[in-house]
Amino acid sequence: MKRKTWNPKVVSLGVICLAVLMIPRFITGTLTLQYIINIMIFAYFATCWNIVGGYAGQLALGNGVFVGIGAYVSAVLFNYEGISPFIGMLIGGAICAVLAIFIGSLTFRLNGSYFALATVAMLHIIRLTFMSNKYMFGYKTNGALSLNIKWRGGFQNMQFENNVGYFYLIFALLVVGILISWYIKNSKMGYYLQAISTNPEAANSLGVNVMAMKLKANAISAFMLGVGGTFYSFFLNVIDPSKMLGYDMSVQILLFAIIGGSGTLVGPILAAVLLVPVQDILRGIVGASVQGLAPMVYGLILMIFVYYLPRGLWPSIVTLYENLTFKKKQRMAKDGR
Amino acid sequence: MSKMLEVKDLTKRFGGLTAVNKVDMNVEKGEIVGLIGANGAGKTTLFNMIAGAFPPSEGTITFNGREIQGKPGYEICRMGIGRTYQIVKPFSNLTVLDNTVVGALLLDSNVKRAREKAREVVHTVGLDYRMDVVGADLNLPELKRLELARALATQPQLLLLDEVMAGLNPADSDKMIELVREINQSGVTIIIIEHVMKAIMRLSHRIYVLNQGKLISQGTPEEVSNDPEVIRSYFGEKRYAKN
Amino acid sequence: MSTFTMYLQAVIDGLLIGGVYATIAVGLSLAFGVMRIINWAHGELLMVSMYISYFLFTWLGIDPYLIIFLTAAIMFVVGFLLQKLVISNMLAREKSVEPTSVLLFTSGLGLFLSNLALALTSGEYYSAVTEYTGKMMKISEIFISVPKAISFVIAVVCTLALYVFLQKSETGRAIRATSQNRDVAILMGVNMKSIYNIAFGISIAMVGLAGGLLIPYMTLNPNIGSTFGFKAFVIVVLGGYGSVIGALVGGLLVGVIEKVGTLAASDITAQICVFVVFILVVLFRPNGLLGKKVKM
Repeated sequence: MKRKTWNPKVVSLGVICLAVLMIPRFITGTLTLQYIINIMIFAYFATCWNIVGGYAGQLALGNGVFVGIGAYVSAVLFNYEGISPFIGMLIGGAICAVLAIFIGSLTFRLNGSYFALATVAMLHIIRLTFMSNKYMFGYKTNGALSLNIKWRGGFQNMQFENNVGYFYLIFALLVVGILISWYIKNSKMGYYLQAISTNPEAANSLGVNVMAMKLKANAISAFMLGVGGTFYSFFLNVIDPSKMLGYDMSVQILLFAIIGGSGTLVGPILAAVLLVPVQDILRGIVGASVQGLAPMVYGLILMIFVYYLPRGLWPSIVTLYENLTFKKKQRMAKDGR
Repeated sequence: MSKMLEVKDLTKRFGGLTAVNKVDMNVEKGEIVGLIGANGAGKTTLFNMIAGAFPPSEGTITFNGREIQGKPGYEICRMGIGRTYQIVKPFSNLTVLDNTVVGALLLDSNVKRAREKAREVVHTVGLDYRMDVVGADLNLPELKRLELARALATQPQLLLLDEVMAGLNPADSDKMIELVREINQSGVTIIIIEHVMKAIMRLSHRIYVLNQGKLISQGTPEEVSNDPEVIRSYFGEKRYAKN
Repeated sequence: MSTFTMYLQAVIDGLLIGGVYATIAVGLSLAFGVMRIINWAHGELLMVSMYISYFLFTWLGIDPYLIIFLTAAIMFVVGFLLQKLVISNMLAREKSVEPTSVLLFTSGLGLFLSNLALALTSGEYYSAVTEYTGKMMKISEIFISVPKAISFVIAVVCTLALYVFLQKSETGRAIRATSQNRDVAILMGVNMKSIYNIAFGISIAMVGLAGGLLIPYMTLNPNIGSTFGFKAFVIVVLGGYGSVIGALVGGLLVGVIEKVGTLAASDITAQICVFVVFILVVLFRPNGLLGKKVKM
């Protein structure tokens, strides 16, 4: 047995983590911190979606709706029942998981394209239901109008005076999300999901209960998205249903995962880091008068990637790196024997 | 020797077409049973029913004393029946090792141990030199072995091999025949569908012959190759049967 | 107005808009039926056609009902080129039968187009004021909007013309043969690539037509694509993909469900209904309400 040496990947990750933790020391601008928080929260969302969309290969276009559901549940419990969002997020996540299992049991029977469309239909049904009812289950959710989260302040209420607190909180969320995603990827579930994504019939004959596995992945992903919804809405202090339950945000989340490289751990995060700032940069250049520039750019980039680099940014970088360092040649030389 | 698999009156109808018609079949523990017949005779349909791809229209399938017809494929795999596919279904973006790990994970949820087990199985089928190659980069004989490795990794009691020789040249066929024999000798009962007569005759303890969904003959390779019914439905294959 | 009259009015309104829905959906149905392509940007391409029609009308002053053919021609070229230069390459690369990469690509396209429109127009609403706009006819108790009626007639005529084209003409029959059995069609000498190009061109041309038909009475804004887009998908699954008559019937049905639903319950309920219908049909009758199996 080889003696354990420091894995270079782990070391560089550790360094990155430390570096990120140091950021609020040097960057005090509230706006800049906000931009970075945006990156982190969307990196988290993309990572969550990736479990179903990337690992399991299911193009769940509408799964972003769970962000909104999680947000509403914890906001409502906080506003009217005084329940801390740290508990509310678990309840919201659980509700999302149950919903995901229910929706999945219907949609996972469908093939690729119909499945994608069905998840969008589900998103719109949920969104329209929220937007047309001022009260949901007895609680006032304001229908199509935004729901404000009452200000009580304090860590236990996930409410901070400035962005520094949110920064650390959401960074912690991102780290946890990455750890969960990493764990799944290297576990039995990860193998099974990959098998399902490539060839579900073969997986079935090897003892994999394909439907159960897909539902499990959907539930986990939905739970995580719901929890993220809580963090996001408390950061914004308001829930805008057309945004949080909207199709646009749902597509944006999966856009990052796909451009970055669905099925990889790093991909979604890389794409979020590179693309989320585009929004803020563009707004800085042209001002608020020109709307829709950022999504336009995202759409263009998605098209370019789907056409030229379908595997995504990260896998393409890895392949490039491997080619450059002749690793591939070495491997092929070995194969001859 | 105990009866491992008992198929009684098995029938499958697709709309107006009867693909399998009241077939009876028995497989004893440790045997290699061959299943032959012209194309469209219903062999793969029979396999599909045993492996749980779809339920029969009539009849029963009993495995180690338990009725299994109609059960889903993954459950049947867990009970100890493995299968390969006529048209290979590799996980094309996973390596040979990872493909096999998927099979090995059935019995051991620990990924590390499953990988070790998978390595052994890959070695057994002779694919070590391709351990880290992804499925998409393999050639046909290698893919056939991979198919075998995956199924073996689930440590089945009964293995259904569907035309595992198809597309192989004579040299590779011989190697595959040896491999199948080794697997059988290690304790795995096998049912094998084949068109390559040399393989079936050399490997099988007993053979069942299907024609248009019906069982037309059964017995030892000798008995079957001399059965006029079989010769009639097989015509020019008699030459191979004599080998 | 009696309840019966109100419902009759709703049904008529539903049929009138339904005819145009059918025109929008039939292109989508064709693309999916022949090439198994899901064009997620279908609604946005409709939006683009509407803008094109609007500006042609505003700058050239030609009768809007003559512009529709010009728009259709422009959109035919757009569709043709899109298929020829982009989609065909993606289809060639995709190993599986259902090309989800095209779905992804077109969702990017849709996102791009709707926000391009938003950026260029700053979200302003445009309304074409044609000589037909706002005119109403009255038949006994029922009010019929003139532009809606004219659009309906043209829509139905063109859809039926497409049906006849597919049934009778050489190209049309080649298209149908390709959708039913690709390999046999190739054997019979059909040039697959050019058939695909033409089919997709027709698909988008129909959208171009519909765009022109909507201008006389519909207000134009960048988001209008998404409103129509999903409805088109619902119609395609209702009517059975690949079926022109199915798209026609489905379009009329969805139009009526919408208007009657809005009357009976509310606008939002009607919208929710449309999505629920989609899910039900896709789960239980994936080959369309009529249950016909379209051989691929």
